[in-house]
Amino acid sequence: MTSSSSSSSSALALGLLAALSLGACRAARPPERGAPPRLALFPVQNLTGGAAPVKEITAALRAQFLTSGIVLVPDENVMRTLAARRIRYTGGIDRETAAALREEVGADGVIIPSLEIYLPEAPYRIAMTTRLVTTDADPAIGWIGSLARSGIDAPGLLAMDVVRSMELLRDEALAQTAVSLASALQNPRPVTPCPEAGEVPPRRIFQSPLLSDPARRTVAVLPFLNDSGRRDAGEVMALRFLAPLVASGTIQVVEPGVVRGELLTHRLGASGGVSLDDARVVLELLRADLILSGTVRRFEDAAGLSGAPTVEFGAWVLDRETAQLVWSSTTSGAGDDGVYFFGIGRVSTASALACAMAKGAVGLMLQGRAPLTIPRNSAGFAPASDASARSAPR
Amino acid sequence: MRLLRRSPFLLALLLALAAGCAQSRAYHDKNMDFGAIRTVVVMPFWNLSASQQAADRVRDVFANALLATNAVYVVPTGEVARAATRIGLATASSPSAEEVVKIGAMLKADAVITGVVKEYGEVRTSSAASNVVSVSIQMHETGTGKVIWSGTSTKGGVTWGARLLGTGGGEPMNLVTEQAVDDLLIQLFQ
Repeated sequence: MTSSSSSSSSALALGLLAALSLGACRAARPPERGAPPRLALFPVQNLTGGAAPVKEITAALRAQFLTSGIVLVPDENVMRTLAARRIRYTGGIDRETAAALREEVGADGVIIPSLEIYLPEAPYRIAMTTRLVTTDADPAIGWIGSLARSGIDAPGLLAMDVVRSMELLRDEALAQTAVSLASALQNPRPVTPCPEAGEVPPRRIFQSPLLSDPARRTVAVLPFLNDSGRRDAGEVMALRFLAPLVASGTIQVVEPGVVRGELLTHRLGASGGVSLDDARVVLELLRADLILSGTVRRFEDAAGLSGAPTVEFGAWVLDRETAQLVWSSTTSGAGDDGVYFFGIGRVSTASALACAMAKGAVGLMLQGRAPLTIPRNSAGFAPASDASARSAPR
Repeated sequence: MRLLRRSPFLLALLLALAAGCAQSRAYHDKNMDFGAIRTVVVMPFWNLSASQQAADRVRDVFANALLATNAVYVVPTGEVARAATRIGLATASSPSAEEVVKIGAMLKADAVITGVVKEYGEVRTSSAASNVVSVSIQMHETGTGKVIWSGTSTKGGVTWGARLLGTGGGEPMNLVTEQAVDDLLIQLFQ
């Protein structure tokens, strides 16, 4: 009985990985039926703009994944493969790295954690985005989880529920991530990004009706231009847009590592904004219909206990077919906007605020779009013909 | 005059009325058919403020607000940068009439907008502080390169109430910028 239920849940888990990777190549090695997916864990990418104990956090995250029953391939094998290919960037995965990990390490997917905020002093803050990317010939995001927490998010009566140490907050956050991934592998369903934050709609938007065209179903997210004083804010903002886009289930999102690989290969810079020529090249290379990027103007975390974070950015979406802007918006806000009584509704981290703003923008951007249909065979796998789901080059 | 000296309230009222009747200093070319303008290029703004990013911020808000009106299409900023490089503009924020024509032809635009950010940031009096933005905008027709519209707007600053009560901060910078941009768009479309 136990074996049977385990087998069925494993099949579901594998089904999730395959089904969510709509662009999976038909030549990709199918995972063995009955075996749980074997996942590689990349070292935590540090996007905090400062120093952070990434080795400790990676080890703690690994322990949480193992506790949750997720099967991880040995760390040494992953590191050996990365070292052999001189790969130092672990914030994404391109096609070559995915193939190497699949062939040499036997990984069915890669977990890519990105640390956005790490404040080891009171009031303690941590923010992370973690995603699972398949190692198919065309890597796809299978799951993404975003969280942003501080020790004073839920102080409770007489501040009895204030988190008193960073280790405690870190372990709670990492456990939340591990449980979310394990749950998604067993029972595929959309994951709400940063559930602790609401939605903040953009202040001004321009939206073309082309955006709701069901034929436009693939989007590539480029790192935002960073005009804020905070290092890596552009990368963080792009990651915060990824989660609601994936969670919407109405559009396919190209893995950022693949995007980065193409940008580097073709030496396409982002200084002064991406021109339409550059965008067209990226879109053709990635076989994507839309490209999303923008500019971060302000990304400041709260100072001390009483301050509020502030975030300000502009986002745009370019369409490949018409070579025109189909979305443009500006969003700005502070963590204490609309907070009047006892700090109820206050957002304590810039990442959570950025996530709420991204959710608001994506909600408007994709409203009216129908969910993507994912045809599956009897074993729960997306059939190989799904490769055609990704639009062909025009 | 004697009446005004005797009645300070009346004087204040007249001054307030005079301020309220102040004309906006916008210029419209009466021979131009603004309805024919479909595509617009917003060039980088000239920055005369102390804040290094002021011009980019105001330009971003302006371009997005112009797009959001759904009246015209604004060419993406990256495309403008590429065109400026190809033409070899020494200063993209102040193109000559010939350069405006070239940019318009290259980007297939009907008009080119240039702007100057004169003030952007916090102003202080003895007891109060507030954010202020002052922007001037010009629109050039791409057929001849001549100016067809010009407007200016200043928003924010320390109010009378703030001076009296000594309150500080005022409205956030982005909000003040949006107010100034809205004012400019009203001048443009009126």
